Amino acid sequence: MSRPTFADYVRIEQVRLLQGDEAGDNNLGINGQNFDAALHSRARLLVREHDWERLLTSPQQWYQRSLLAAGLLFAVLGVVAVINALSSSGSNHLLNIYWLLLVLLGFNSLSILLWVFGCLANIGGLISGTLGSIPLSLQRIMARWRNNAERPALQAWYDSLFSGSMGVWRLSTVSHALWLVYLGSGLLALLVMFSVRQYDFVWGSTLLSADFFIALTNGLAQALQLFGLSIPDAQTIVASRSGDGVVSDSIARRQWALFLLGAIVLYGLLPRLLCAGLAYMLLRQQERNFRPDYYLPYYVDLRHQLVPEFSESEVVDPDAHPSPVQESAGRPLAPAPAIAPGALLIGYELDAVAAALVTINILNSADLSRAQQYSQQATGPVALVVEGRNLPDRGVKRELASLLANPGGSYLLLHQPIAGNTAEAKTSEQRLRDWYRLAAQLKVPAEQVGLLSTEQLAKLGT
Amino acid sequence: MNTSHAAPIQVAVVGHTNTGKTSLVRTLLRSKSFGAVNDSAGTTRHVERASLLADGKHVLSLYDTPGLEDSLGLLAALSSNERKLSVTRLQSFIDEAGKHPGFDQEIKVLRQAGQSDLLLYVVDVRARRLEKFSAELDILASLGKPIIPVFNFIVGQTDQLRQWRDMTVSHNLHAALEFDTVAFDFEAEKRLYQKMQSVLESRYDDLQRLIDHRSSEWQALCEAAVQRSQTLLIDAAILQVDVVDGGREAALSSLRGKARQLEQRGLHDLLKLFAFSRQDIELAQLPVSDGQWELDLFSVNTLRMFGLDARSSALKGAAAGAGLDLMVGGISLGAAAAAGALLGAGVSTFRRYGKRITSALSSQDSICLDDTSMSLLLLRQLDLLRRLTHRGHAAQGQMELSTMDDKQQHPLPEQWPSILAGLRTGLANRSASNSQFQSAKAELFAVLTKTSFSTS
Repeated sequence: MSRPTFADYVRIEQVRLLQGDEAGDNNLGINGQNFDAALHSRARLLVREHDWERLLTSPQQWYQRSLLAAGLLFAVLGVVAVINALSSSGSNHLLNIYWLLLVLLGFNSLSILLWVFGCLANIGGLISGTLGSIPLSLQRIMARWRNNAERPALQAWYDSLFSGSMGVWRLSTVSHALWLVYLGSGLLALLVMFSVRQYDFVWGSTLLSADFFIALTNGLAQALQLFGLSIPDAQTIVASRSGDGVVSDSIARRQWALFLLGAIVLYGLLPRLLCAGLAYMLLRQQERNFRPDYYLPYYVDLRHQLVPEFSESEVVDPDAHPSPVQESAGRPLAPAPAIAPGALLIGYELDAVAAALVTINILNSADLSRAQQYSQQATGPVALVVEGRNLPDRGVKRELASLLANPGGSYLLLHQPIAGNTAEAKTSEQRLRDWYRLAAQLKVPAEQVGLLSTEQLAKLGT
Repeated sequence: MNTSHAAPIQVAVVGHTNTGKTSLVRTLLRSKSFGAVNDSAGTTRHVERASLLADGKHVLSLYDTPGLEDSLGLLAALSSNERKLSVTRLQSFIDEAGKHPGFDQEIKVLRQAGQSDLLLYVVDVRARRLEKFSAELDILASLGKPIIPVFNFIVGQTDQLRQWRDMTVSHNLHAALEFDTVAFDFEAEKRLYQKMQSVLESRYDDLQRLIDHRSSEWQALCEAAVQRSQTLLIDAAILQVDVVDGGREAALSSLRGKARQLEQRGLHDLLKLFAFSRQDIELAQLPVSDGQWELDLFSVNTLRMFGLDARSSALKGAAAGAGLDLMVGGISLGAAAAAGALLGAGVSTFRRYGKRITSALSSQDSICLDDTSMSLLLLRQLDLLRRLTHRGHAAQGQMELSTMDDKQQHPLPEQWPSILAGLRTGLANRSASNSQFQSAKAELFAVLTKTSFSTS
């Protein structure tokens, strides 16, 4: 499956907000995919399941319709700007050259300059300009009249498309495109007019002298001349001043017309096109690199579910003889039972201190065989002393059993050192229960099992 | 070097009873749901498998086995009639399982170990080195499979650890590993796979894939956690409540309520990230109950606990429970924003700052969290992150934890005041784009990462 597109990611984000940021349980059978693909599949399934299609696409449709409307508006504005520069005097059609240049090129250049400056100085407000506040207001308006169920889809769509750099480059692209429409429709209108009507070119100014306009024209003309366009000379410019008598020279007319068209293309359309291209490229790059914030708990939760780190566990070799449910009632901590004097004290894996207080301490099989001999020869009771905190396992049980010639007359003493009474040395309730269970299995009566401090052990030993 | 195999690497986790075999598997899976863990003999009485996946593919299958309980008895049974311990002897013993009901569990272990590529022999280093452990190693070694001893419960057991190392070396096991299933450390997990690489040369590439995958997942997890903490701290730093008609008390309690709510939500999300439950936090001795911080963010005791002196005069307000500043001054429009406002992008800029400017003009107060509360919030987040990243999923009891009232242990990062000041430039607008706010955000991320995940 191919990588999800930007639109797919937007949809994934919309689904997230529609779900209220709660991933829920996802037993969708989406396996063996990477996380992106799995998310995409999941989003599609959910959209189908909840019939969200219309809900999710409506913001984009609204956006496209608004763009279309704005494009039409700007096209009309471009034509209006051109028409504003036209007037008639008698049978002559006049065109105000510098007025037209100002409305078509002047504001355009100013906004490009601001945009470039904004990019260089990284001022988001300047880059996106006043357009930046439009989606925000739009969103507010929409949020007000759309019902609550639809708001998350709108919110996610808006956040994905318009937040951060993505929003900056998107608005830049839109703004350049609208200016292009404006200039393009103006240019088209001029071409149509020039094709079917004969215009006389005039200009007028209350404050500025002819020298200023000569300098301006020459300045603009320099680049145009590179393309082989012939430019009105100073005389023609002076002669074109309105009120000074209209220049009806067809060469001058042609020169003026080409100058106008050339200036609009070279100083208006081309820079816009470049800016639009650049902004669009950056936008596409942002879109390509766009990923939802996978660090959000929602996505982390989903990752655990959709791309698990481990398989479900399964028992491959079951317990053939499940042990019966063990009684959980614990006995109270029993004190050391009274033991007849002369008992044989056999230690089992005792620590050094306690080991010194018993007849023999079993640490290995040699100790065990010796202890077994002692036990068999013992005339009095046998007391097994173990560390209470140690674990009574089957090995312990087998070895202790081999020491008890007469279980009924034997004792099981759980040594619990008082000195250095750390949590670790203490016999836990659980462990005590384990030992009682062992004693029961060894047939040592419960009243002959008990806890024993080191001092008590020392007393017994003497 | 070698090609990638299709079949997952089979690893049997073996060892004496109650040494933490199931815990090891849980910690590696980062799941609390695997098997049963109990401080008792014979908790696991079956062989259970779970596989580690990398990009959806099974790479490594872990087999949790019952504990070996009577190795000396088993050794005696195996070597009876003058027969020597060998693979064939073990095999015939396993085949005659019915004849040895007393060694039911041991046979399960041997059967699984014999079918595996590698054995992890888990050792509770707190135990004494007795003959029975040697017997276990002798029996396992006779299967002819590579064995890696894994030393568990190593915190504070330097001497014991050394002695266990000596013992395993005497059994010719040199590639041993320290891996505490309770006090988790990702580096140790990585070393485990590396040791496996060293003894399973033919699966080197598969294991490398696993290492790379696990590392990037862990990295992502830590980053997600840091990001969540960062979000919380930013949200708290820019939290602002208007004082309406002099109702300062009402504003105060509203602000506190909001701050607590932010912290609780953050806690909930972090626990979820690390797949821990509320119970874990209680066990980790964090002052949390029912998923809620037990110690109120605004109590004097909490301040003390984190080493913040509530008695100093500067913080008297905080100690009295005021804990707040007036935020009328300290609003910098910033040269760039001002230029933008002047140059015609004014609508959005004014919307951003206008409310604050008008409130300053009409002398309407807003309150926000003061520095002490913010510092406390930071320390609590750091503490939480540290604990979460170092807690194994096997942890049952209480961890060896540093006490929270040790001022030296968790000092405030020295960049904190400047970070906080930077964050405050974004008051009431968390997507503020001014450079001061952005750099404070980045610095906060760095501080959280460094302080929480530096290996102690």
